[in-house]
Amino acid sequence: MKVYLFGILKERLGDLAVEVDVALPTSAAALQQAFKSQYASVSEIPFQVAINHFYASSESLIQVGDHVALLPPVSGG
Amino acid sequence: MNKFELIEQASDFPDIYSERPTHLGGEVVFNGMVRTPNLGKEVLYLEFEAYPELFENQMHLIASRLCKDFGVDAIHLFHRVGKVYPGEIAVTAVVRSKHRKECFAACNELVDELKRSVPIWKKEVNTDGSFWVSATP
Repeated sequence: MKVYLFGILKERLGDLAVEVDVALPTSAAALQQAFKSQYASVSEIPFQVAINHFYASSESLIQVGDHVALLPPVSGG
Repeated sequence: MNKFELIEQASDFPDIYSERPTHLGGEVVFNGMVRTPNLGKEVLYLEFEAYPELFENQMHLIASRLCKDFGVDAIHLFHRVGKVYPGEIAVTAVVRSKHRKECFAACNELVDELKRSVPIWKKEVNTDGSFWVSATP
């Protein structure tokens, strides 16, 4: 599935979005684990998951067709 | 009425004083500006990136909570994206209510919540290089 990236994750991986190999439906927590193992070069960066433009909890389910984004710690202001 | 915008140019900041409701007697405005030096280094500029759809959704949730918890009537937040230079405003937060005390308290919480959960990221570019700033409430 495609996941969209922001901030340091986008810069370090050099793209607006990357593919994560994970079977759907899955949980946000499972997606986090899959991403960290498949993109080990950025595995030290903490991030939250957003599903369809809302923050997800770790138990939130990701379905086929969902818009998913990975969000490193925010720093507005 | 609440209002939230991502601002691309300094000249695009709205005139926050042009639409004052007559039934609200209190208004607190916080402007956050880019400062230099930071951590002993001269800041050349900050570069802000946002996730617009989540920004809009998250700001609605935050404003609803603040209006309920503090009893205030209007929350406005305007945040720059792109490059912002020292001395320029990066964010303007406005809270309006009938009275003063809840305006100050809600505005303080609004800026804290901005730093906790609003999907905006900043990269500091200084004379030695650049780095992404982590959340620091």
